[in-house]
Amino acid sequence: MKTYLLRRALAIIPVMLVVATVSFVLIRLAPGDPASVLAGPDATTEDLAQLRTALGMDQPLPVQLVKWYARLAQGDLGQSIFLRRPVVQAVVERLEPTLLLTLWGTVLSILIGVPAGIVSARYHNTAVDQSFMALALLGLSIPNFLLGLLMILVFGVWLGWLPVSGYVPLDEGVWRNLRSLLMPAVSLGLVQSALVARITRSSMLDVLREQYILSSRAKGLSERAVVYKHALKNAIIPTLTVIGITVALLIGGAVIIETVFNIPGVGRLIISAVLRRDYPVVQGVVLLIALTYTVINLLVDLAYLVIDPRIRYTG
Amino acid sequence: MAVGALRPAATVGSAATASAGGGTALRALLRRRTAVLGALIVAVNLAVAVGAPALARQDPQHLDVRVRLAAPTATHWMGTDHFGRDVWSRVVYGARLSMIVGASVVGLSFTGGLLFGLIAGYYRRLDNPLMRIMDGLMAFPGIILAIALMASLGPSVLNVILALGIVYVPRVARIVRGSVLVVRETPYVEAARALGGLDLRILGRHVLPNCLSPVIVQGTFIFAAAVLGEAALSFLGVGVPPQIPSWGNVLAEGRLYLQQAPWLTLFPGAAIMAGILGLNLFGDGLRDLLDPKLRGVHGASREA
Amino acid sequence: MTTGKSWIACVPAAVLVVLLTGGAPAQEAPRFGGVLQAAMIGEPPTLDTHTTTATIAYQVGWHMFESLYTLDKNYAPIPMLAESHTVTDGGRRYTIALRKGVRFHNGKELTAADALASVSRWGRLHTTGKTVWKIVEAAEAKDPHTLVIHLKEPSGSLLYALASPYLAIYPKSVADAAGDAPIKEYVGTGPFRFVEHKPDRHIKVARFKEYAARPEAPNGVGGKRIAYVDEILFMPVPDVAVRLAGIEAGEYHFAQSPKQDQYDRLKANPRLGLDIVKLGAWITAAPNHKEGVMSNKKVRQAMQAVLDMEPIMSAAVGHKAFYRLDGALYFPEQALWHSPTGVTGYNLRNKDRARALLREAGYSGQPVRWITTKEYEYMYNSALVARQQMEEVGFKVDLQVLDWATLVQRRGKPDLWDIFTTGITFSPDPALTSNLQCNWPGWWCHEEKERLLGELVRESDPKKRRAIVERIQAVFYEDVGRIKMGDFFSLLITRDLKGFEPSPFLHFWNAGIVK
Repeated sequence: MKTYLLRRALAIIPVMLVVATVSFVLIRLAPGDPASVLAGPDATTEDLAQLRTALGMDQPLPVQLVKWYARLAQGDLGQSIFLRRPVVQAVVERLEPTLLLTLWGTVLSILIGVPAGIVSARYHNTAVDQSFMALALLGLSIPNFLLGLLMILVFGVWLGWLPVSGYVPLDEGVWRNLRSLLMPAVSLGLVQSALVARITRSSMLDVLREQYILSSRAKGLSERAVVYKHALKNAIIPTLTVIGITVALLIGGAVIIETVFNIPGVGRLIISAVLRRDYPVVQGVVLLIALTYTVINLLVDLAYLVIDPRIRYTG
Repeated sequence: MAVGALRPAATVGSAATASAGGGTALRALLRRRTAVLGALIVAVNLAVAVGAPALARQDPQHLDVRVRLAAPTATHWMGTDHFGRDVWSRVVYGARLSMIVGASVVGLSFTGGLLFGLIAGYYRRLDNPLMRIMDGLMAFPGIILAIALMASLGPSVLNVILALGIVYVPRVARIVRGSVLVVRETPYVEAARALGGLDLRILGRHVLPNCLSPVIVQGTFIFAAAVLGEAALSFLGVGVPPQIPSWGNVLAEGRLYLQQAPWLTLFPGAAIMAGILGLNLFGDGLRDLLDPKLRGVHGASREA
Repeated sequence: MTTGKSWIACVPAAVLVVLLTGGAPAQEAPRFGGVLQAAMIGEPPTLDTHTTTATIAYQVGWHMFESLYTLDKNYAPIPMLAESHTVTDGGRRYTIALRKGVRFHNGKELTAADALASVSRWGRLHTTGKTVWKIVEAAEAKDPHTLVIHLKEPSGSLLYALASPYLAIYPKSVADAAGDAPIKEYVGTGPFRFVEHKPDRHIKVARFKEYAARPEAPNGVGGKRIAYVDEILFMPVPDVAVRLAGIEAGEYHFAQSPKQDQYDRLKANPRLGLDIVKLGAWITAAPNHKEGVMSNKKVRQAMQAVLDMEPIMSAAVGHKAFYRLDGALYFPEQALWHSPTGVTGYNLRNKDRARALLREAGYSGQPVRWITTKEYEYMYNSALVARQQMEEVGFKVDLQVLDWATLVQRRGKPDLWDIFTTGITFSPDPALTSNLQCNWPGWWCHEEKERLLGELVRESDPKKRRAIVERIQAVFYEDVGRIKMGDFFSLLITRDLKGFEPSPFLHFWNAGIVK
């Protein structure tokens, strides 16, 4: 297992290299550059040239790329052009809202999805099952930003129950922080809970059909024991899969939800960086997000190993 | 998805016995019904898309500022937007655009995915580098990759298709490669190679048909994801040019007038929900038909 | 330009008011205290106003910084940090006496050395500053409270320039320490002092207790400035829907740039204060004179002939109360410069004439590349409506909706576009209007216009200046320098504020919070 771990960890490096290169090239393909956005439309060519030299952008691209690799090797993600601080600091400042949003979204999707999936599997093919699955399908079909907009309209403006704008940081009160995250987290989590419910249900159904479950029933164990003790334990594994996928999808979803609800998180940071051509931020944040994804996947795979010794990995 | 490891869920699933008597049959029947419903909705969408010029009551880009932000009436079934354009016509043409984008993205991702997947699975030496690149692309959150691509390429329908296609190529490639790896080892293919058969022919006759069914299933979900993806990109302002009617554009513009003209959000919202719902239902049914083993595990892998 | 005349004009009106209201008691002053929450459209790129032309930079900054002069309610310069001035040597030497006893936030007293360092830095770094500095021969601090500026030639514009809210007076130590890079600490003489800047969260300023206010009553943005509130929080809320919803829910006291469409609905809310500021900006479409299909004068005249401004402005701005069709280059509120003389080509709505002109021009369907952006709704909206009108008479318009970064980059390249839309904010001084210059994108270089602009800079007599403006207007329309769509007004929304002064120049001094 140790060699497996080592191999997987090492495999991250070439993947990150690809990500770093692609993000470098991609953002520079976009027309315009940070110098012209900074200086404004009325700047002269000399002003722009001066600015570009100051930003280190006057050197040929391959040279800049190599410098980027070199800095990366030292863990230096560079300096944001517009925020005038290290990229890492810019990310850390915006981490709290995004992390909390993703966390609550995940928690919500699991809290709603897993029980729904289990109940559906337990009462397989009854009205309960069908209505849950119908709801799940509906949930999968609504874009999360549309749900967000509708919630703003109903709960924020018409009813006035929840704050419509932005984000209240944790240090200004846990309750107020939660209130400001309620609608965004629901928009994210509700839609994802549909996916979770479906997957949980399917896995439970598969497991419930296994021979040893049938024999447990034959032995006379109560239905409850069968479901909750044996089947659930085995259904944890696909649920872990789901968590891994869900977190990944939620990071992507956070980008839109932060825009809709005006939350100053990493999602909004990267969108504004792409639109302003803040090269270091785009490159740095993309790399960090990619790293997070990959690490989470690695952790989920490790969790399998721990939970189910039946699973062996080849090579 | 994960880099490298087998998904244990698949192992568990395939270990399950295929039949448990009457229960499965009943379930299959129900599935068929929802699949039929799904197919119907998809058909309606397609019909609307194809028949858009006839169904729309006006040129979706025709402005008439004097009647801007009008509530639904007999002439304007879904009201007008802030330029006085007919919302119904824009939703109808938006359906057309969504179908085009969805189908094209599926086509592009299939082409790219099949190509890379086949090559990676068949030629051992190319497997590692190709898959590393695929992993690299998949490590990007889909939407961020799409936003960056759109910023570079510029707003146009073609570029949206290109961007979303690129996002989904690695996913298709993975599935294809997985299938190829399995098929490759079968005696049939080994014999064909030993006999000196052309690689291409082997790929075409033996390998390809075997990877098709998981790919096709994935296809319905990519279609749905592409429709949602276009909507998200256009909503953020980096998708299709704003004057072109698309569901995302209509929602984006409706959002600015959420309080005064909620119909600008509600109607296109309902349309897009119906469209995606149909695709998901259809995809579920298709999956049941083609590959019961994969039932429920992969789900609708939407990237928001 | 003295303020004496405007004072006198006011007096009879004031007497009348007193007579009619039976000598009603003066309005009670706002109360002190509270934290004013202002939802702004974004964050300023910097708070060092010498280095930027972003409006939001001064809107936040000038609560902390002040200039030598500022604008009264007729948009004419009046002293702020200056006490008075004399002009000698045929209009070439300005001797400015500074007020005494004005303290910076760091406790030090304002001296001419500080003024000199700040003005020179602004002249070196700021876009407008650089233009103005071209005619400055030298500047010196003759004594601790006297600044002398020597000009190469007489100019009617210097005081207007010194009244710019971007010309903040920093302490010499701060200006020198920063050099050409943005300033590191924010120290000014204003009624508020800098507290903190949490990026993407807020910029916080607090009342400066030792603020030296001017003795006169508030006049435009001049006169007495009182910090009633304890603190102001400027918060970036880029989403207009969220800003609006926030102020309605009571989370903000001010929401910047609301959609004018919302006006009727918001008027019904008794807690909100709505003000329409008429002096703002006008929407323009700038054709490319240098290259391409619009460099042909007849094609430009065809475009000018067909446009129907009412639907364009209606789509661009929304609510009828927020725009005005007027072809003059300056606003009616600028009584000094506004005139209908010379406005010959505005809102012609003549399709036949347009078709005829296109034929005469030999136009054969070449696509007119119109670049615009959704970053500013009015730019996109006006372009979309205009496009349809132009296509009705035979134009082919290729509308390219770009993101801001791309737009900024393309605007400077004459081979990439034929028309672009933008808004021209009003300038108090016609000579300082950069958008009429030859090197502004569009490259409208016209011999007579250049000559007239040159005269305008040198002329100080307001009547003669007005006559020059009228002639410039005539050239503007005959040659179709740019296409003016119309004036648009802004809506200011406040909540629970008393004493808030609506103005094209946003400010929160003299405003208090009502509970």
